[in-house]
Formats: sequence, structure tokens, C-alpha cells
Amino acid sequence: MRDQRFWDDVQVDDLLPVLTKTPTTRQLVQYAGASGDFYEIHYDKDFALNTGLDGVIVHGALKRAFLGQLITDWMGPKGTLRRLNVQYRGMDIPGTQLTCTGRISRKYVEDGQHLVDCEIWIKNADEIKTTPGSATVILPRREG
Amino acid sequence: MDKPLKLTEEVRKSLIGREGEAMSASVELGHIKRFGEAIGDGNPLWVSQGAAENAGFKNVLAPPTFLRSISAAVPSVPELDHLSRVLDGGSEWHYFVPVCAGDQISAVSRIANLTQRTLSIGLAVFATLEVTYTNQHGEVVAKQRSTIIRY
Repeated sequence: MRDQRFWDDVQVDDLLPVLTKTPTTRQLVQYAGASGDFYEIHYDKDFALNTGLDGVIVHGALKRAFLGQLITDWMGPKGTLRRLNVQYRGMDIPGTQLTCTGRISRKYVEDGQHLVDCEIWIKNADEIKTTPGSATVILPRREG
Repeated sequence: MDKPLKLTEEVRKSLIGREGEAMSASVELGHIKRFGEAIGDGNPLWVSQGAAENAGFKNVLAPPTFLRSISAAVPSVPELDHLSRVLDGGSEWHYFVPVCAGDQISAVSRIANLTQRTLSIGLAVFATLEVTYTNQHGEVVAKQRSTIIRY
């Protein structure tokens, strides 16, 4: 079980733990099947070349799923993901390592809920942020 | 080569607000597990009834990004057929109610906005698509706002 994160213990500028992923073409096919996104640029190299790409590319939605995991792993089972924003600025290719992480940008209370905003991102192997985003989570309080 | 067709303001306005066909799907336990495996996320909440119950959920929970696989039918836009290439620009999701195995989810998509720009790759149309996901109790579980680029 993932450890529970509490709102009381979180500070602005804290960094999220790093989650690394190296999606393979096999994983892209697995994701196509599980998500129903069968656009050929993600598994058919000839098709990808014909659309002007250098080869198949990682699904943006798979990268979003990696950032979703970054947050849900970090917040623990009693945290609630309220908002997830992910922008696909750069393409990523299978077989290269993606580094997912983030930092706490705001900690606040709204409508009685204890909230934390995070900036999140994926960097490619060249340290370029291909996939920036942000998230808002509700965290439980420590009792007593 | 693609036709150098620009959308007239009249066509653009007629497309905004267009809805796709409503889709409905049950959230299957096996599908959640396959989705978790595909994204490489072994969180017990996506696998174990016991872990989900301990965290206060009625059944195995779907990962937040699972809803994408309950695909809403995208509104049909024959007006953009000449732009055959598609890129996903990203999306913002708001989550309101957890989604568990056994839920019945319906999804409706709607074109919220359309703009056109000339990029290095040629004329591109940026479509903002809004999808609303509703469960069997009539509760809106999530809303998605995505940017789709066609060129």
C-alpha cells in the first residue's frame, strides 16, 4: 500500500518523488488496446513516417497516465485527485527514459477542503520538458 | 497536398456547440486491471477490492486517467476531413466523483471552440473539445477539456 500523505506535512516548494518510465513499443500497443486509442502513429512506423514523423511516438494520454500515477502514488489512498492538467508540448519516442516529477506550488483551504496544487512535468532524456502540467489534490488532515 | 481551405466564419460558428453521439459503457474490473498494467501502475486501489474498501471505496477504483478509455464519440466534422493529420495538444480534467468497477458511465462530447492558425506544418485547426462523464446515478463524475490539432 502507498503511504498516506497528510496535508499538515506538505510544504510549498516540496518536490514530488521522481517516477521514471521507459515506454517500449510493446507498451504503446498495450496502451492502445487498453485505452482504445488505435491511431497508427503510435505503433505503425511506416504510417508514422508517412505523416512526417521520424517514427512512432508515445501517446500523449499515456504520458498523462504517468503523471496521474505520479500524483496518486504520492498522495496515498485517502487523497483525492481533483484536477489534472497536462499539455503535450513535445513528442516522446519509445525506448527513451521519461522522468516524471513536480513541486508543490500552493497549499490552502477552500470550502472546508484541504488542498494542494502541484506543478508537474515530464522531462525527456535530454532534460527537455516535453509534457508540463498541474494538478490539484485534496489531502486528509492528521487527527488530533 | 491538402487543400488550402480555411474555414469561413459561418462554418466555424456552425461547428461550435456540435455534440457527438452519447456513449455508454460499464466499467469492467478486467478492463481496469488491463489499463493499470498497460500504464505500468500497480496501485492496489486499481487491483484489490480489500485495498479499495480500506480506503473507503465500494469497489476496485479506476485510475483517474482510465476514463479516457470510455471514449466519447467525437462530434463528426466532415468540414475538417481535408485535414487528415491529428495531434493531441493536451487536456484538463476535473474529477468530482470516484469511478469504480461496476459503474455505468455515459460520455458526451461537444466542440467548445475552434480556431485556425498557420503553423510551420501548414494550416492547422485547433479544436477545444469538452467531454462530460456521468454515472448511473446521474452524477457528473468528471469533465475533460482537450485541445485537438488537425492539419
